[in-house]
Amino acid sequence: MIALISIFQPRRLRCFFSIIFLFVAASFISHAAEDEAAAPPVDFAGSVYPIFERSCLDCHGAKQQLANLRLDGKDAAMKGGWSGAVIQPHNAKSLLVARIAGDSMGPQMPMSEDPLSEQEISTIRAWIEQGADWPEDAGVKQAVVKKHWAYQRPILPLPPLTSNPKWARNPLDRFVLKRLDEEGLAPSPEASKETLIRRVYMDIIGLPPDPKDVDAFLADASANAYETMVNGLLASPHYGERWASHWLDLARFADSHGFEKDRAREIWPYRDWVIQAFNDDKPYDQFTIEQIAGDLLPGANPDQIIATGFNRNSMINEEGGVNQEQYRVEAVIDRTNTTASVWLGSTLACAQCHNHKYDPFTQKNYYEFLAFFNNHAPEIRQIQSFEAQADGPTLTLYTDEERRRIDEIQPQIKALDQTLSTMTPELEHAMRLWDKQARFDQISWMAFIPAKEKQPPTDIAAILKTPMRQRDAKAMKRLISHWLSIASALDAAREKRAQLVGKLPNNVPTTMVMQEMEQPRATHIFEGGSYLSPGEEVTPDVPRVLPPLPPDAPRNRLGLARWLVSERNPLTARVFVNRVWEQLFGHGLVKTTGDFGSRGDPPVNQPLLDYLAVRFMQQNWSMKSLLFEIVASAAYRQQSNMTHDVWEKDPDNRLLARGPRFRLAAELIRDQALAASGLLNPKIGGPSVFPFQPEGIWQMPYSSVKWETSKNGDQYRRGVYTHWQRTAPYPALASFDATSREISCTRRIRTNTPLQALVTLNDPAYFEAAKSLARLMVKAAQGQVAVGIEYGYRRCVVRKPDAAESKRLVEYYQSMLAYYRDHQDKAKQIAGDGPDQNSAELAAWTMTANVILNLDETLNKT
Amino acid sequence: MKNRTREAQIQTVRDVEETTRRYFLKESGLGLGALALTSMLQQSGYSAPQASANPLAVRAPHFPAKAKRVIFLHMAGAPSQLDLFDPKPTLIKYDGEPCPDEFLKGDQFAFIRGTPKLLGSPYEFKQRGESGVVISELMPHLSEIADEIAVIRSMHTDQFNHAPAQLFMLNGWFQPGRPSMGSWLTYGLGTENSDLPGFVVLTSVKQPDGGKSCWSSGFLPTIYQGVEFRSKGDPVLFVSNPDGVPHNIREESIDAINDINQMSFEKMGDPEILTRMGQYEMAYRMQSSVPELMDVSQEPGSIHEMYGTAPGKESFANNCLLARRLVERGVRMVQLHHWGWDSHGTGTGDDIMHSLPQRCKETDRPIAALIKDLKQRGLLDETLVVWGGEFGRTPMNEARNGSTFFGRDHHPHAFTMWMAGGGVNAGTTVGKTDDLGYHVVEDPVHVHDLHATILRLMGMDHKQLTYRFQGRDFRLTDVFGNVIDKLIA
Repeated sequence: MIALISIFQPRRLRCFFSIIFLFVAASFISHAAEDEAAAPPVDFAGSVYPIFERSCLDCHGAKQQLANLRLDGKDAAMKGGWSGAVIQPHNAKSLLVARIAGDSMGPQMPMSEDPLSEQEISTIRAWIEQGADWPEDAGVKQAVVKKHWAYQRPILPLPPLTSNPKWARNPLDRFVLKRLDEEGLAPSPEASKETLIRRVYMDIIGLPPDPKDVDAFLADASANAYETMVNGLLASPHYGERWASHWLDLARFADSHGFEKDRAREIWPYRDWVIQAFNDDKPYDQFTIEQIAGDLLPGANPDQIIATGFNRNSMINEEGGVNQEQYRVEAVIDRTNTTASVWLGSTLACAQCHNHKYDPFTQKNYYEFLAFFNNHAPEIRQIQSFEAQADGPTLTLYTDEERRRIDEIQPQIKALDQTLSTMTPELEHAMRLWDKQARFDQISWMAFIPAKEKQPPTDIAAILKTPMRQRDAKAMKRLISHWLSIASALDAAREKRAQLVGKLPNNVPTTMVMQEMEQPRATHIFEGGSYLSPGEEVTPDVPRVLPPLPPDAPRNRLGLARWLVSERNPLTARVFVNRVWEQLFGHGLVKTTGDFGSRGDPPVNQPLLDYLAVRFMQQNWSMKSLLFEIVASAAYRQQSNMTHDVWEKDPDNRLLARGPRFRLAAELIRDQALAASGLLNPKIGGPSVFPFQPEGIWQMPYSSVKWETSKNGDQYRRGVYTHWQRTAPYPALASFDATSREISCTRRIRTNTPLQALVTLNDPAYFEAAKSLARLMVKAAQGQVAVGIEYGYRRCVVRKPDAAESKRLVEYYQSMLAYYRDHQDKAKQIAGDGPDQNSAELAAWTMTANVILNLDETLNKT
Repeated sequence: MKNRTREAQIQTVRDVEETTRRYFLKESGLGLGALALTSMLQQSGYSAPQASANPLAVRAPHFPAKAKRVIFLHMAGAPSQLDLFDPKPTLIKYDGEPCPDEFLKGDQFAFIRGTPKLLGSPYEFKQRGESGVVISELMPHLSEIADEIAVIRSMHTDQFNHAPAQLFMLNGWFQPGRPSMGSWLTYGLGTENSDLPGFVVLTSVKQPDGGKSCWSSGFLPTIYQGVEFRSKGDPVLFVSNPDGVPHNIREESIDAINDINQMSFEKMGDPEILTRMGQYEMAYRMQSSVPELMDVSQEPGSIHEMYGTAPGKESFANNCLLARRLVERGVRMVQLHHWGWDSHGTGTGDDIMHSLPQRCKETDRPIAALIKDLKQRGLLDETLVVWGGEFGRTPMNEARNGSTFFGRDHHPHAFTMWMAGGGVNAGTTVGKTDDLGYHVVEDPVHVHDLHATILRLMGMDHKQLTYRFQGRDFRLTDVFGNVIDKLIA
């Protein structure tokens, strides 16, 4: 009776269910009083299915089938999901019951909702116990479990038929247009040549075209003028710089270790490797394999080893007194999560502490994946009891000439080392004399020793004092080696050796690389994600929902890398083409570029995504071919003017009824200002540089590096070469959403703040660009203000100003000129010393250039 | 109670993300007013974005709340609770005795090795005010306003190294990459002054060990990032015009830029252009509002006397006064870092006999002044003041390498923080530690609990303040945190 009473106090009373409660209650009474067989059968359609409908089918029904489980149709429900069968007839402990009762390892269902009432749980339990009879007419007839789209291999879709076959320049366009047709939108006209050349320059090389290049393009009337220009840009060495910037965000490349000490690290050769790889159009599969496992390739060359810096970009904590194992594990976790996110667009990271709640990754899968990265060589060293120092494997980057010099000198040094460590009868004789004399006469021994030593080290002195017969072998060995180091007879050899050593290359750059240990580390599941609670041991493997590792594949990073770029992998190509799309159009076809899982945004145009992905693989993973195809499309070449209709239906321009228009990325804002003003130093590669930044940003008490503005043009290098200090990012880049690169960033969220306006208006680096642009404008003007303005305008936005724009700028210039003529002191602060007339003019031109550099059109790709 | 549904929440997050770029659309005041913008939008046939599109627009909290702003006084390095707020007669009794093994077993320390000896506090403690809150002699000024504070003696954390523990205290996660509390607050509540950033950071001596990550917006849009106001050079980077460019000339350039931008808008129809125009207007306004804010010389002598400030000086005291000026102007969160509390006892520079009293001397008076000043202006009720380090200090003398100076190692298991102002149950002491002060024995308050409580005092449900990032809804409190009711009035 007690059970009965408690049953009649449901936590959430609902009239609808009161009848069911009676049934269940009745079954309990009989259960207590008699045997089970007598329990009245649970009516599935009347009592169980309504619970499913109310509490389960949102996630496990027709709309979606999380964990591959569908509970609205008999066959699908009986089959179960990723965890196997959830309903086992007659088994009261079936997974379904365990899950709703909260008795299983996984989260209690329904997730993120109140648990089912005890009555509801009992009903379901009783139904299963009685054999889980599911009448044929209950539920949905054909409940098919669809595999999440991203876990199925993309197949090359046929380009669809569209409303306007003439519009398409290549098959890609037909997919775009089909989608526009569906939404009742029409594409925009093609943009002007001026707009196109600027757009494509910014997208491919990240620099604005010189007015001369513009003139040449405008003059080229050939049918493929545009394609010719694009191909020229793809061959430019600046292409690699522009695309490396994006990849370095993913790779979390920085010039410091991070955390409290944040000391400098030398790994810029990795950055240069990325630039070179883009320039060489290294196929993306090879690009991947070398970064993840270049060191494990048979006969790996230095470049392939440099590429493994990708994983060494993890942070290192050198703070005193830290637990080194904790931060070693953190680095491995970082590599695991970064790899999953960069290549698979996967949030595998969520499974560190528990099974993934939405995607088919168990916690075990997570640690199996982690195991690929867990066998790295030590990367930090204890130097004193409380001091640790980053100290992982590095590669020293000799030039060919240096290498040749080493090859020439090293054998000579080796030979001399042999001489310097070999006793000859003459040396032995001299030593005996020295030894004897030293023992006889401690005071006057100096007079007799045939060597340069003034005072022997204490341990040698002690040996010398000991009678010869009482010395042990160790002492004799020490004495001989000491003698050889001082004997005059060897002076010439020693000197020669010192000379040779002096000829060896020094200050040779090094770069951080990956290396495996011979003895693998065991990997355990960490209970609750904590390294302090190791559980079951696991071995390297890939998540089960994806194709398996081939049986003969090595279970190491190389095996993993090859698996990532296997054509059977449904994610890698899609994830990459989606990132390229995002760079060009502002948003990916899948907006959540780092999450292709069930909680990510569905693709806005999956056939297009799949088309691009398959084409990418078919074209030997060529990144340049992919880029060419996209920028050659009619979709890309549209003008970006916005109409109200388009804005209403597609404010973010995901469907592409117009061309892309959005603010340039941080590095491009900088690069453009430098290029437009003629300050840019186009040098490619080399150690990171220190452009101007105000005093006080740099507070690095532990770093040997000081922020001193680089000289000799290095202060005018592209943004990609700016020294990236994790705890003090370069402010002018950080203001425009560049990240600190402490962890991998799959997507910079574009913001728009007044602090950005302050940078481009007032940062001395930008004001210097304005001064420099002003000089170019003066030169071009030849006394005609409007001409100078037009020239400056073209250097920034390519097109000429229209009449109204020109008029407004001329007006502004005149007003500035009037002001600075009246305020020579101020003019000179801007223009420096010089004739008054010139100062006022240059100041006015500088202010005008400052305005042009701050126009919305300048800051945007249009 | 306004309980948003899950769907609505997700939508809100997306709205904010989408419209971050449309920042300040409705904010411009100078030259181009909000009205003008709206009418331009209407002329062009646009109905949106609305006021809600501004990601810094004031948003209603989940619950009605007294506190509207937070001042977080972070004592970087971690002050010794055992010499300031948590007296332990037992430690004095057994001073110099080895610490019992049962405490040390399985514990790890940053610097202590072997069996350390217990260290009693050399400072005198007294009950203060009417409430009897216990404070040591090192903080005489705070003792005067003891009735205004609620002391938490039972704080504990997961981290025992500075940088990770500071990030944990300020961001709720020990690694860089997540948003700090101030970012969460401005994301959740917006800010009341559109001429100033919503989240401002002031540092004295030097930056905290966690660096700029301590006020990072993490994966939230950078608009929610803390903005460092500097005491040297430009208070906000690049807020000053270049030499030779006076304010009126800058105004002319902004007008020229925006006139041409408006022409672009008429051609292109992209509402983002209007946002850019607002952005430039606001930058121009900041060029006046920030220097005005930073100029403490206008404050009367009595205020300078109270805080111990002097115009133009770089000090924690000046930062306290600036904190008041900032909250007075509606800034949502002000975070102060004062460095130098790491009392290991390796010398007089970091021991509890010289260094600790010095740190107290630098901070005690201005902190008490800040609370009095907020109160006399009627701002204390609306302003939550939080004081504390990133962890506590050991009951044992560290004696690193045989040092003869008294000092204490890092201690994550028990430490003290206090709160004052907006909605706090002032005059109480929450929690208790054992006789040695080693572990919490009553009412433990984890860092996540502190965060949940701070959010609750600000009217936010820490479980509902979420942001979707890479497939997961993140919160300041991760998947933990309980509101500590005893701290709430």
